[in-house]
Amino acid sequence: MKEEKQTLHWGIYFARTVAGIGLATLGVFAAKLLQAETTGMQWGGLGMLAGVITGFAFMLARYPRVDEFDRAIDRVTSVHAGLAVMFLLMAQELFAQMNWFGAEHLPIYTMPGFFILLKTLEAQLFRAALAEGTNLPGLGTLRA
Amino acid sequence: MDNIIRILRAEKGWSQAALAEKLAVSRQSVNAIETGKYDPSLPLAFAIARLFGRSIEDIFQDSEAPAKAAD
Repeated sequence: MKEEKQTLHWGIYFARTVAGIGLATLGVFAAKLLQAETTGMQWGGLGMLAGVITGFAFMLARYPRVDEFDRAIDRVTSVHAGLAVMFLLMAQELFAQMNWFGAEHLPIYTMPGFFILLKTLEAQLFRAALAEGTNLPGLGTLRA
Repeated sequence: MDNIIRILRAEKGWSQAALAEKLAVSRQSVNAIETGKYDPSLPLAFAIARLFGRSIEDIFQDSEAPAKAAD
C-alpha cells in the first residue's frame, strides 16, 4: 500500500519558534527594566513581565490537543521542556558560582520563551520521525 | 504492541485519512498506531475493533508475550 504523506505544518512550527524567541527576548527586556533604578522603569518591566506570562499562557493553550495522540505529545514535550529549563537554570547558576564563565546570566524571565522553543522543537522532531518512519531516541516515551 | 491495522485498512481500501476520520482522530495518530510508536487508549482500541468487526485481541498482539511465556 502506498504510504501517505504526513502533514508536518511547518508554517505553524516556524511561527511557534519565532514566538518563543520573541518571548525570550521580551523576558530579557523585562529583566533589564526591573533592574532599573527608577520606579517608572520598574513598573514598565513588571508590565512587560505580565506580557511574557500572558504570551506564555496563550502559547501553551494553542498547542493541538485534538485527540489522545496530540495530548500524549503535549504531555511528554511539556515534561521534557520543563526538565530542560530546570537544568539550564541549574547549569548557569553553577557556572556563575564556579566563575567558569564571565558571561552575564540569562534572566529567569527568558525561561518561558526557552520552554516554548524546546517544547516546539521536540514535538516537531517526534512528528517528523513518525512521518518518516525513523526511530528517534525518546519516541518510546509517547507509549503509555 | 504489534497490530494488523495496516492490513485491515488495506482490505477495506481505506486511506489513513479515511480511517482517522471514522475514528475521529488525526491522521498522525493512525500513522503512529500503525507503526507501533504509540499504543492507543482502551476506548480507542475498542473503537478500532468495532470498526473492523474484530476483537481487540485479533487486532493487537502483545509483542512481549512470547518472551514472557518463555520465561
